[in-house]
Amino acid sequence: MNGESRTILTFPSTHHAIAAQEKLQHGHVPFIVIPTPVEISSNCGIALSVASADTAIARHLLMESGISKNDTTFTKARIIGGKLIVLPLSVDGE
Amino acid sequence: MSTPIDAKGKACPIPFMLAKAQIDAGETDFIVEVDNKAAVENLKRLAKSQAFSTSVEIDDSTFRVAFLRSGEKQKSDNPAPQPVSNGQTTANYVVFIGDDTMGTGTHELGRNLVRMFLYTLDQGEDLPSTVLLMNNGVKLAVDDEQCIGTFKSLQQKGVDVMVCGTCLNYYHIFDKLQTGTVGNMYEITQRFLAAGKVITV
Repeated sequence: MNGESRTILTFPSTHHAIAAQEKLQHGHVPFIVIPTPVEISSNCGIALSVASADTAIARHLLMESGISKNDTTFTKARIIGGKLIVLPLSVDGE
Repeated sequence: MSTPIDAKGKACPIPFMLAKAQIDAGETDFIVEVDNKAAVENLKRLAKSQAFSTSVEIDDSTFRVAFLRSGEKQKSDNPAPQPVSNGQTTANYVVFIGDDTMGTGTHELGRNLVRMFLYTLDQGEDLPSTVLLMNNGVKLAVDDEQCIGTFKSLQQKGVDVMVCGTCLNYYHIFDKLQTGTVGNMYEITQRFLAAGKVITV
C-alpha cells in the first residue's frame, strides 16, 4: 500500500533468515521475503519486510527464540510509488 | 447451428483446436461439448480472442459451450504489449517458471529465491508480457501467499500470468488456483514463439 511504513529485517546468515520466517509464521506476523536492499549492509541476501506496527512483536519473537541477539538489524522503510524505499540513517536499534 | 462437436474425453489442447478449426472454417454459431472446467476456460478465452460470445450449459458432467459471433472479427492471436496505468509498459519477453523453487538445492532456499525473484521483477520497470507457470511452477499460484500477491500485482500492471491447466489437473489443484489465467499448450506455445526472449527460472 502506498505510503505504508515497513521495517526491513536483515540477518547474519541465510539460515538465520529462514529460521526467522518460521518464528514469525508461528507468531502470526505477516512478512514478505525480499532481497536485502543494497542500501543495507548484510552478509545474507534474504531479508524480511514486516509492517512497522509489527516491529516490536517481531523483535520479541526473534529475541525469545534466540535467533536475534544483536546481529539482526531492523531498518525503517516506506512504500512510495509502489517501490520499497529504505529510509536513510534509520536503523532501529530500540 | 451445426451438430455439437463432441470433445469429451479429449486431452488438452484438442477441444481448443477443434473449436479453432470451426472458427477458421468460417463458422459463427456452433457448440463444443467438453467434460472439464479447464477446457471450458480455454474455449471461453479462445472465443473472446476471436470476438465470439459464449454461453455454457452444464448437463451432468458435460459442459456445452456455445460459440456465437455477430459483427466484425477482431483477431488477436498474438496480443501486443500493453500500456498500463502507472506508466510502466510490458516488454516483449516471457518469464518461464517450471518449478516451485529456483535453482537446484534445498526446497526452502529455492522457494525463498523464487519469491525474491518475483518480488524484484514486480518492483522493476521492465515487466515481461507474460509469466508462464508450468509443472511444479503452478503451485506458486496455488499455495504460496507471497507469490500469489506478487502475481496479482503484476497482473494489475498488465502482465499476463498464464498457468498450465494440464499441470493443475495433474496435481489435482485446479480448484485451488488463486490467481492467473489457465492456459493450454496451444496458447503457451504461442507465447513462446511470439516472445523476443524467454527467461527460464
